[in-house]
Amino acid sequence: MFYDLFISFSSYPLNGNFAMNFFRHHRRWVVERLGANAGAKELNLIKKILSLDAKNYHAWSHRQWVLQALGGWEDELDYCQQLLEEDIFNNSAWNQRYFVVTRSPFLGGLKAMRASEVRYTVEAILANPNNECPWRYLQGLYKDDIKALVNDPEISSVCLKVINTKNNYVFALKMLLDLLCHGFQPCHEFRDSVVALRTSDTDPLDPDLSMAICDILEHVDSLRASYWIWRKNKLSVAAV
Amino acid sequence: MAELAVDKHVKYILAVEKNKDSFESVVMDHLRMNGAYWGLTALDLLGKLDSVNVDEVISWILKCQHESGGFSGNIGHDPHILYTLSAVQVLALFNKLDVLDIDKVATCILSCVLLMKLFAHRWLYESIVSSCTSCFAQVSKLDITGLQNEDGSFSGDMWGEVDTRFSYIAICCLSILCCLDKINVEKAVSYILSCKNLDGGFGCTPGGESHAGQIFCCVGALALTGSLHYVDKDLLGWWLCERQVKSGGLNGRPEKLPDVCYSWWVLSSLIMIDRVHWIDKEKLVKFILDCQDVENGGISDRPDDAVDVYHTYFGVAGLSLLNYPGLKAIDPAYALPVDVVNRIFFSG
Repeated sequence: MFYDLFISFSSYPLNGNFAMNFFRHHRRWVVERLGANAGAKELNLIKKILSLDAKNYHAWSHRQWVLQALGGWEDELDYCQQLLEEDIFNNSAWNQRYFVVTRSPFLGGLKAMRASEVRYTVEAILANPNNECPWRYLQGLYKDDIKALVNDPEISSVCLKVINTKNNYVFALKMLLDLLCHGFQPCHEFRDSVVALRTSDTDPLDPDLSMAICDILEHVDSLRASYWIWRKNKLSVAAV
Repeated sequence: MAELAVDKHVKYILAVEKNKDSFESVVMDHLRMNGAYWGLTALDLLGKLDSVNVDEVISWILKCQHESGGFSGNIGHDPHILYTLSAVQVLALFNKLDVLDIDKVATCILSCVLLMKLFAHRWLYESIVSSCTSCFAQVSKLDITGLQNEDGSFSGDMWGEVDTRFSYIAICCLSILCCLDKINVEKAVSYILSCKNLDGGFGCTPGGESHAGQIFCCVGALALTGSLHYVDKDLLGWWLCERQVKSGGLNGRPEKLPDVCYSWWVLSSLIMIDRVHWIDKEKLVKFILDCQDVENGGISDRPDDAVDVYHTYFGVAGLSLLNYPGLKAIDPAYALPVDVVNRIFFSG
């Protein structure tokens, strides 16, 4: 009953865009003392806030605190799934998914979850290859295990598939470039698909696939031209 | 390309300062100290700090100082570290740090109980509600605790919430007051590094989503403690330059809208890690200039939105970082004009 009274007293400012720090901090002290049951109610309340503003940074920060202090991990992956179904571009939900996969005591850890998470992420990429979030998530799944990233055929395959669509391929090219820099040995299909991206320019593509990718990216991702030039220069230095 | 409407912005800032009955002023009443920092620093960058009455400003600031040494957001409100930092920064602008009892202020920072507020970021700016501030502070004052925790993190309040923003606030303020030795710097750095994510960015706590505002706080704190060598500059630089969207503006997280305030958070971070050449500066300048209200002055978060002094400051500060002609240079870590920072550290 105390929790309900407390929540009704302090919930009002948590609605809408107003994640009120005062109430959030005071809440933590109270909620911690009320225990796991209050934790579940708290997670529900945060859900309500996120339903109004799904990327609210404070709400997500508070949610992570509740999970770590009071538990409630069991339904969290499903919750992330639901939010991503509503908006696959929600970076906060992708971040939370990573948080759950790596820290939940019920899922077995990152390595155990990797295969299923890769499949999920690849599907998300193929649906929206211009979505920055799943590309970053994919790299996160191979934390401290670059070799596994390079050797997983699903990773190189999704790059190839996206490049072949000749649409929204910047992130795919970047991932392929990273794979090559980490020792990926491409078959001819990869070079063919990169060559097919060229327009009617008369300049021939660089014989080195990595260099060729940098040239294309310098052109099609021109906001970051300096970055791609730097990547290309790094390749030259490495080759020496 | 539009030009920076300097005179209009000066007029706008001075009008905001004077008009205490406007909606903006009423909403900002309790964080007027932050508003003062935004408005006055913007004026200084525009070369017009002499448009304000120094004595009036200093006198008002000192009326906001409390027994504990800390400063409140306005007269009659309770002291908090957020406003203490802004007060110290404003005093630095006017070269009046000598009015402070530095030990008292530093001790207050270390021991006063805080209401957690991020100074100068929209997502907390929007969330500040005045009526509960003093209520909470009254309760908070009953339990004075040391700010720095065992793991090197900083708490925002007696309830113990930790956030890397507090690390920046404490480090920046103590650095300006030249008493950084009052905290355990090594542990503070170690905590900040524990909030580093795989994408090279930083969140509010370990596992927290990388966010440009948090990144500024972490990179700034690392810069001020001589610890930038711990940052993977290439990886973070890539994450930061990916914030630039087609319009030329910068967002704060993947797949979000651009906002002028990120012209500061992202840009200053890029400068501190020496990767600012990775964005298209010209397009960003154009974006900021498109966010001006050239009729009435002021800058908004994105083109055609309502202006406010917060975005006016960050727009001008961002342009300064981009070397827009006619603006004073600003220090990316201290968020104060370079000549002010030099005066603090090099003129004894």
